[in-house]
Amino acid sequence: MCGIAGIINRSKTEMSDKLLEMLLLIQHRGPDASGIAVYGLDEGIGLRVSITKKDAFPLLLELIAKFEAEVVKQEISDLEKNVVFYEAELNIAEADITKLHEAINLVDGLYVHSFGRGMKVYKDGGLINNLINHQKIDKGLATHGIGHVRMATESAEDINAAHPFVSPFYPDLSIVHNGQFTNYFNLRRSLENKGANFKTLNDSEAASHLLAYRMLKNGGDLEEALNYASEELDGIFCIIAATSRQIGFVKDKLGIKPLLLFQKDEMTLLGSEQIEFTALFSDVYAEEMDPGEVRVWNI
Amino acid sequence: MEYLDASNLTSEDLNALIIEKLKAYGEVALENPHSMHNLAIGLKEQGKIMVKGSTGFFTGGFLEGSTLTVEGNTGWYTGDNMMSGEIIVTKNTGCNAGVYLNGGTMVIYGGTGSRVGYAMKGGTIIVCGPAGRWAGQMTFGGKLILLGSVGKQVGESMYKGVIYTQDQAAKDNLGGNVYLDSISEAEIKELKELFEKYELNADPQNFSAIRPATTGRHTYVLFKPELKPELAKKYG
Amino acid sequence: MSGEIKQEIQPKDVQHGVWNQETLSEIDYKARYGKHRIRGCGATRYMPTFDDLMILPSQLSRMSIDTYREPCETRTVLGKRFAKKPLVIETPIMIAGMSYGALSKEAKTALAKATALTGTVISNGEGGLLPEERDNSYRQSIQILPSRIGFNSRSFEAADMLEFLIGIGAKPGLSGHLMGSKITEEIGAFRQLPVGIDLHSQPRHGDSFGADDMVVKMQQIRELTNWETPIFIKLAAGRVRDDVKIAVKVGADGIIIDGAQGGTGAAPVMATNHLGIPTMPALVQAVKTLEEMGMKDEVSLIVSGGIKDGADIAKALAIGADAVAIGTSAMVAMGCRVCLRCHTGVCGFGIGTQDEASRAKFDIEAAAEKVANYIKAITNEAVLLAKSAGKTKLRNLEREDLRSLTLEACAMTGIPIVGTDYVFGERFGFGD
Repeated sequence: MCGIAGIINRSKTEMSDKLLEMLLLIQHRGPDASGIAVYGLDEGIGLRVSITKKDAFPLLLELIAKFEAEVVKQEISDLEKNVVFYEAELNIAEADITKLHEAINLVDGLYVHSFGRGMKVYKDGGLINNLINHQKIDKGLATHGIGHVRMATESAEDINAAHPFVSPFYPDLSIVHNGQFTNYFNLRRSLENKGANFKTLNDSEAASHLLAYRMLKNGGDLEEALNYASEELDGIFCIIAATSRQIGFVKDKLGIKPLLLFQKDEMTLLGSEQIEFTALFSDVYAEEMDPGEVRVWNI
Repeated sequence: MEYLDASNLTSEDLNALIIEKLKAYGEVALENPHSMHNLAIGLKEQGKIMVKGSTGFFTGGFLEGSTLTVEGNTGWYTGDNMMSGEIIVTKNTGCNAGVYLNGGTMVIYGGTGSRVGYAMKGGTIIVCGPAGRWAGQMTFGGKLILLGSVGKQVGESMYKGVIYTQDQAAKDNLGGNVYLDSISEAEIKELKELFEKYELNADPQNFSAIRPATTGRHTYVLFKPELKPELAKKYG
Repeated sequence: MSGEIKQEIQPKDVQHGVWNQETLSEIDYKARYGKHRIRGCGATRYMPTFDDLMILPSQLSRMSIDTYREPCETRTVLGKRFAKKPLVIETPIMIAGMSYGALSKEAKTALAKATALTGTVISNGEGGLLPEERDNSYRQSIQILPSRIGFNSRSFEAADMLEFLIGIGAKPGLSGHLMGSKITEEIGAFRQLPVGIDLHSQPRHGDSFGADDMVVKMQQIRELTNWETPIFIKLAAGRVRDDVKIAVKVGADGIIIDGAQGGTGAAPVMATNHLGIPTMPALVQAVKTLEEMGMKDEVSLIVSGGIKDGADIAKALAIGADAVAIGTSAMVAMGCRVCLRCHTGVCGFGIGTQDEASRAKFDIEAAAEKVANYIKAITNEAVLLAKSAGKTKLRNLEREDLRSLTLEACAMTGIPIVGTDYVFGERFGFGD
C-alpha cells in the first residue's frame, strides 16, 4: 500500500541517506512516488517549491519579492524538464512564512514542498532512484526525519500527490501517511471552509491540513493534535508527523496498518516493516505498536 | 551443519537452495536473512532449517513438515496457512502470527502482535511473551496457549478451538461470544507434555481455558445507546 | 367463423390515460359536495425517493468495518451553533411532530416511551404538550406553531429542543387541520377549542410577520431560554434555497426540512399531491445552500418525509443531514395500516382516533416496544451500511459514497450515475 519511515537521533547525524536506505528496503510497498523530510539542519529558513507550469516561475519570484524576503541563495533545477524545483534560503519575518506559503500555493502550477527553518522536504514520482537522481538532496547533519514510498490507491500518481505533505496553517509540520481515509471528502469540505487550499485529490493532504490547523489552535501541541486526528479521521491509517521540535505517530484503532519501533544507541527508528531497520543495524528487535496508539518525542 | 548465505539471494532462489540442502543433508543454517519476506515457504522436505537472524513477512508460510527455527524476530503473518511441521521463533513475531494455521506447532519465545492465530483451523501455537489484542480471533479449531499477558478482546468470536491462558486479567479482557472455563485433566496432561518438550517454565494447573460460546452468540447489538434520562430539561 | 362482427364481443379497453377510476371518483366527490377533498396521511402518488440511490461499499481501495464485531458510533449532537446545551441523542432518528388530537393519548404515550428505550427525542406536534408524553419522553421537542395551541411560558421549561414551525411537507403553505369529529370534550378542553367544529388553524405566526421580525423574535426566545435550548426552524420543502438562507440569517441553530412525502392527520388532497418538492432533492438543495453560506459545519440539518428504513437514513446522512425524523413509519410500527382515514378519526387500531372503544384496544407497552424495536432495527440497518462503506461513525458517510440509479435521481441530486462519474447539470460533491 504505502511504506513509511522515521528516524530520531539524540545528536545531529547524517539523516537523508539513512532515510533513503530505509525506504529502499520497502520499495516494494510503493513504486508510485517517494519522499523524505529532514529536520534540524544547520540552515536558515528554507523554501522548496515544485513548478509544474513554466510561466508560473516569474510569479514565484514576484511573490517572494512582495513579502520583502531577502534571498540569501537560490537554486533552480533544469528548466527543460517537466517539473522544475526551486530551492532558496530566505531571510523573512517568521510571521510572514504562513502568508507567503499560502500565496505561493494559490498560483496554479506552483506547490510548496517545504517552507521552514532547518527543514527540507524532497519528493518525486516513481521509484526512489528517481528522487535521488532528479534532486540535490541536502546531506547535512539533522536531528530527525521522516520518509515515505507511495502506492497510489485513489488519486493520481503525480509528484505533488507524493508525501510528505505540509500545510500553510502550520508550515513547520510535515506528515507521511500509510492507509486510506473513508471520510476524506467531508473533511476536505470542512477544512476548505476554514480556509485550506487543496491542490490534489490525495486524502493525505487532508490529514496535513487537519493536523496543522489543530496545532495552530492548540498552541503547537503535536500529541493533542494526533489524538484529535485519531478521533476525527475514519479509516485505516498510520501517520508519522514531525515539526522541528517534535515527532510523533498515530496508529488506527483497528491496528490494520503496521508501525514498528526500534531503539538502539542514540537512534529511535520507526517503520512499516522490520526489514527497514536492517539498513542501519544488523541485529533488530522491533516492537509493534498497539492499535490506537499515539506517541510523541520532544527533540 | 550446512549453511547458506542469504545476503545476495532472493527468497525464491533461497527456498530452492534450502530444498536441495535438506534433501542432501537433512539440515541447513541460513545466515544474513536481513528480514527478507517469504522465507522457507511451502517447504515439504523433512529436515531442520536454522535461520540466524530476523526475517520479514510470511516466514514459513504454508510449511508442510519441515522444522524451521528463527533466532531473531519475524515479521507479520509468520507461519501463515501452515499445514504441519514446526516453527520456533526465539524473539518476537509481528501481528497475525499463525494466521489460518491448519496443523503443526508454532512456538514463539518472545511476544507477538495483535491477532495471533487469526482464523486458525488446527495445530498449536504457544506464545511465551505477551500476546497482543484480539488474540485467537475467530478461530475454527486448534489450540492457542498464551503464557504471557493477553491483550484486550482475547478470543473474539471464536467458533471452535480453545485458548489456554494463565493471565488473571483475562476474564476482564474477553472478546465476544466466548467464556472462561476451567481446564480439564486431559488438557492439563497435554499442556504438561508440551511444556516439557519445549522446556517452558509453566505449571498447567495455573491455566484456564477460553472456549467459544455455543448459545447466545451474536447477541451483538449494533446500536448501543448510553441513556442519560436525568439530563432532560424537564428535570432541570 | 364469418359474418358480421358482433357488437357484444369486445376487446377490453383498459384506461391508462387520464380518465381512470381515481379521477372519476374525485370528480364525483366534487360534483356531490362542491368542495375540495380532505384526507389523512399525505400524498399517495409516486415520487422519487432515496431508493433511487445506491451506496458504494469498500473493497480493495478501502477497508470495510466488521458488521457485528467492530463498533460504529451513532450518537448525534444537534444544535451546536448557538445553544449552550445542544441536544445529544443516541441515534440520529427523532420522532416527528404529530399532534395529540390527530393521535390518541395512548399513541402519543407509546411514542414517548419508545424514545426512553432508544435515547432519542419526540416532538409534541400542534396539540399542546400532553403530560403523559412529557413524563415518558427521553428528550422533548416543543413546536412553536402559528396557532400556539398549548404553548406558553411553561413550554420553555420542558423543552430540550424548540421547533419554530413555518410549514410541513404534506401541506406547505397551509395551516393545521383537525376535523370536528376528533375534537372531543377532552381535546376541546386541552386545546381551548369548541367541541365538534373543524379546526383550520392560523396560517402565520402572529408575532413575527416575515423574516425581519423573526430575527428579533429569535433574539427574544434566546433570551428567554438563556441561550441554552437549541432552536430549529421547521420548513416544508418548497423554495428550499431561499428559505434555508433566511433561516440561517434569522439565527436558527438548525433546520428541519420536511419533504412532500411527509404525512399528516388531515390535509387537502390537492395540497399533498401538488405542493412542494420531494424529500431527497430538498435535502440536497438545503445542504448545497448551507455550504454556499459556509455554514454547513455550524447549522444542524434534520430531514423528514417518507423515511422508512436504515437505507434512507444512511443516504440522508451521506447527503449531509445530521438526523432524520420519522412520523408515518413510527405509526406503522405501532400497527397503523395507512388506510388514509385519520381525518375522520375512524381508526381500527386506536392510533389516529379519539374514539374510546378504539383506543381501548391499544396496548401502550406493546406499542412502545414495537416502535423502539423499529428504531433499533433501522439504526442497525444504517450502521450496517455505513460499516460496509468503511465508516466507524454514522456521520462519516459522505455524498461521494453514493451513486444514482436513475436519470431523474442524478439530475435531481447531482450525484453521478452508477458506473460512471457523469452528472447531468450541477455536480454535488467531488468527482474524479
